Amino acid sequence: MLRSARPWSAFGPSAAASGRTASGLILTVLEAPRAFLLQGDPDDHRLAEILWRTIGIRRGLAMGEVQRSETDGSRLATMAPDAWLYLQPNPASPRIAALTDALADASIAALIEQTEARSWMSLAGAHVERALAGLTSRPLTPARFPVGAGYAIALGPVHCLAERPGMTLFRIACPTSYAPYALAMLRRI
Amino acid sequence: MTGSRLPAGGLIDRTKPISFTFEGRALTGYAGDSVASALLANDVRIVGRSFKRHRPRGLLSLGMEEPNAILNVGTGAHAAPNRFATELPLAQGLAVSPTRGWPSSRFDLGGVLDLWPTPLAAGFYYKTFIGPRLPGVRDAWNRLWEPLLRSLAGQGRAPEGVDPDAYDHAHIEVDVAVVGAGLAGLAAAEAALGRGARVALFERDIRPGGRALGRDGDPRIDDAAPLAWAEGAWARIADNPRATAKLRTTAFGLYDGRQLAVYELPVDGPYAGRIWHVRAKEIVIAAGALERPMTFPGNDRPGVMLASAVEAAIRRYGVRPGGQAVVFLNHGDGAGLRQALNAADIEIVAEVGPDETVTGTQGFGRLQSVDIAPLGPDGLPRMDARRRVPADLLATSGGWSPALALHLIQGGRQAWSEADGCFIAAGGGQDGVRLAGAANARFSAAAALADGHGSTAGGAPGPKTTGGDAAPSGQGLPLAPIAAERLKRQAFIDFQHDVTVADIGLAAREGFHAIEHAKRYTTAGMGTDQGRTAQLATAAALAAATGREIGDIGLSGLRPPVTPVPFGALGGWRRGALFAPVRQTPMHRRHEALGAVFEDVGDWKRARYYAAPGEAMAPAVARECRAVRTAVGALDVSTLGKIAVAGPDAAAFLNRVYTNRMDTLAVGACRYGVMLKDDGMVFDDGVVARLGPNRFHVTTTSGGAAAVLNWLEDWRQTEWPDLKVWLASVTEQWAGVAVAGPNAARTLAALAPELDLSDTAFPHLTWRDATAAGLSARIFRVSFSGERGYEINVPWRHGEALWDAVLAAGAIPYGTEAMHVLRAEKGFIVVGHETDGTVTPVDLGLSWLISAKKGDFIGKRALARPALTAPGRKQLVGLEPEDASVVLDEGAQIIATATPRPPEPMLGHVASSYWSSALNRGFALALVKDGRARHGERLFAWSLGVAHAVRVRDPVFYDPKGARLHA
Repeated sequence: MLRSARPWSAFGPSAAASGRTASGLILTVLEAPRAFLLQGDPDDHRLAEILWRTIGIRRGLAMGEVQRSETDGSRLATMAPDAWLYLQPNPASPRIAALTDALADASIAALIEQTEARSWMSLAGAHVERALAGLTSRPLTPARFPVGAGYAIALGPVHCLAERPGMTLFRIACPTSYAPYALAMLRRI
Repeated sequence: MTGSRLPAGGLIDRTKPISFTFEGRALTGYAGDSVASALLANDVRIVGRSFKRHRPRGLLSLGMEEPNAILNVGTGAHAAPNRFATELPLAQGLAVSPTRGWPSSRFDLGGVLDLWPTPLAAGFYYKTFIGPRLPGVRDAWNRLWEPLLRSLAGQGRAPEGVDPDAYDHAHIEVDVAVVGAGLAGLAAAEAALGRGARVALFERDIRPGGRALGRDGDPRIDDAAPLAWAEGAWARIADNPRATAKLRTTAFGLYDGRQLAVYELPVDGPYAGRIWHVRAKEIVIAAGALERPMTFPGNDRPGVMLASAVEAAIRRYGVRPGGQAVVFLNHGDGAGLRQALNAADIEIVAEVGPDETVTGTQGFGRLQSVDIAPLGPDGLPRMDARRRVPADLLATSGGWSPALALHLIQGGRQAWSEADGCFIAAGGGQDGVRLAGAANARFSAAAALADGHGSTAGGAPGPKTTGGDAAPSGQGLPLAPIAAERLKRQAFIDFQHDVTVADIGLAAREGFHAIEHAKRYTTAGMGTDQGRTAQLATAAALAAATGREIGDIGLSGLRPPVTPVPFGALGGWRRGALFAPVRQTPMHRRHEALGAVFEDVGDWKRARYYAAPGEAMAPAVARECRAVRTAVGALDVSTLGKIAVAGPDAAAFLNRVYTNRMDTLAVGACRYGVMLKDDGMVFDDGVVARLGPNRFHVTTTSGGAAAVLNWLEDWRQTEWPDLKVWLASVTEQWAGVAVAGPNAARTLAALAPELDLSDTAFPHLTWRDATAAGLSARIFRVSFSGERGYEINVPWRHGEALWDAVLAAGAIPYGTEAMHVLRAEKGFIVVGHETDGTVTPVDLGLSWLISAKKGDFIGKRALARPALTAPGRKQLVGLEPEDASVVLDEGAQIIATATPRPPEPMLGHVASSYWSSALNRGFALALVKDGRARHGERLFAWSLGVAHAVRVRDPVFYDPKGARLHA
């Protein structure tokens, strides 16, 4: 459906919104990866086979689990027992077409593109865990939110996704329409 | 330092004097003082006036239970009401003042109310000011009595201006949360840390130690004095990386899931206050115990203090609260008090023995003498044998009660313990929440330590105690026998709300025998102190008045917050621009540039209308409507909820959700539908488009999108897990612009020249993928205005470009207000306007949407119930005011007469009302009883005292044959 891949800033806050938060954390507006919500029967081996064949990733089954491709930086985050989010940083990756073609008729699983639906940003700094704890009840200690994990979280009133690529780095995806509010919220921490 | 400060002693830092003002008077205290102790040290005996009778009041306690010393702090925007002087650390430059008293608390004109208090007895406001009406004063309550009472009573002054302070919230998850850093709490925290747990420890005082701060005589703990042990334990805990330990931090709520709400007053840092949301696997409530005042005539006179407060004044603050003391206890735990009085060189002029009682006190604004009388054989004091003792201090104690507030607000139970002489916790509440120490009726230091340590199972042995110990023994009810009814009016139970023994007796005589009823009738326990010093006395007085046992009375319930918390802290960072979440469409900046006036639709900001410079709303809306009816208009519809429904059972799923069939919908087609709740009432509406055999695109109302998705997920996951169907929100995947009007096709043709827009190739209620304005687009041919219309959807990032292109092609932007006018002219409903949770599709004239050919759907069974098909239901109609210039008020009541007389039967109400430039008149949609049978009938729309004659008619005002859809 997408005819052109315009930069992320065309539908969300621009990169100029990047900067320091009130407590000195580094807030960076990111370009959005192509995002597809995949929903299906977790026990359906056909779905597992399609995923492995098309995107080279095995499904995770535990909430918060993020499986990664070893070759192209794409990842598959387990959002619910029967839902995964496929994130592909290369908007022209042939794996996208392979996956969408394989699931086009929605007979085995549903694949819905949500690239536009989320705005992405990252927050980094030594005290990022403590600062974010002012906005979310999601436990952020490494034991409860380990490096490499991704969870649905509420930042204040906004429902977001969060990944933890590093101990002092969180990547956050908020609904695009809430992005200006979410950025303002993060700037004050 | 002058006044009553002892020359040495106490836990204050005499090298650090602090200046502050009370009621404008410059005073001085020391670091480590509370405002209360500093006032006491400066010989300030009257700290405020009482709520109803404006009696002078002094410090009763020096702790959280204080009912009298409730102050306004600060001035202007920084002002904060309802602060307990006993909990307020003294700070340089602090300005505090009493809540009541004019011109001052020492000389208060309101004090005349105490000269004849009878009219102010319990429930007086229920009886006194309702009638009779004053001659010449209409609505006397609102105009006279309430303003007068508010000026005399009230609970402090609100800040003037916007609070300039910043507040914060923080979340923390731990294994063990401990409330209270007294001996039991410290032992519990150390034990939990000893077994490897993550611990949070919260103490509302500025120092740890609990009762060790203000008393002596407790045993040595691990071979250290109790206070030294407490400070050492606190230091060990605070240094532990697995611990979060906070002083000046008060737990004020305990909720399901062991979530504790805690308010912190940081000593320094960027925030004036912080709310902690604490989740814990285990919670230990070690909040201590509260001393109860004795109830006797004159027990509220300044100079009557709790025994523990007298002891704390001397030992903790180095203050001599009097020179001649009477001691009146109802238990045997007075040794520490006597030692403290002796140490401060305060003469004990009398001790009220077990066969005596206090029958009165004297002194204006300060205690001067105490009447003591022996008890007669009937248990009442022998007034003829009373003696008057000169004294300026009366140390009183009616025993101790465990602090059960947090236990009770989470659903815990309580029961009377004869052995302990108090109500104690009796189960209930959440698993994993336990009381420890004095809160668990373990009153001695040794027992409290053992209980605290043991409450976190496992770990190393607990602290060892050596030496003597003290605990209240044989404590009875804190209600002294009172000889005469008139004296009961001077015996205070609830100091903050001026409730006396006589008030409780009156409540009992008037039938309020249950503690909750008596509480509400008398307001005992309803002050900002939540009646901490009043609860047991209230129960005791009610038991006495009704001839029952106190255990059968119980204590009244509590609710969070158990202590006042500033609104600013509750709001936290959610203020100003962050007060409410805001959603914006990708065209938002364009709307702003066009002069849009926005309205809130859910969290969305939608352009309501676009005002040219100097243009008011009405002409702007009329202009926009004319553009759509005569040319072409453009509306940002990006906010519409959009849900992708996919899977082999998608059609079957939608068939069960909507009233009409969706399985017969062809790929490439759209269909309007309504969904019902199981009670048959309209829940939401929208358009369903079939994208493929197993894929649908469902639109919802803008404000209802999340609720609809939740509702659908609920049914999918819980009722129909057998269906292979999945749902996903795609609201923000697609931006949309509605292009409507007789020139809509021409406009779209300019944008999408390759698309065949003929009625045969692209008929109404179909959709097509196409390229529009150079963008990949999905175009729906639908109409919410009655004109030929298209909704062009493009990926969200292209929304602004699409908007620009549509306007460049000649479309006039129109907002949601014009949209409402246009749809109402066509009789189209809007959920929330024409529905209110009591309206069925049949009521709305949408019977044609209910399929008789398909199987079950949500709400089908309810629609067949007699009540939903019986005559008399409100039905959708149109209304034309007889005066065409009138635009009726939305919400106006429909009645049959222009001169209603209560109780006038209400026939219905106006749901939507607008001015129509197309009709050149005002018009309305309304829900009217049996409305469809009333077409042509003359009724009246009544609002705010005015009745307008209206003619009932069909709700479709414009183009009833729908010809313009194909124009």
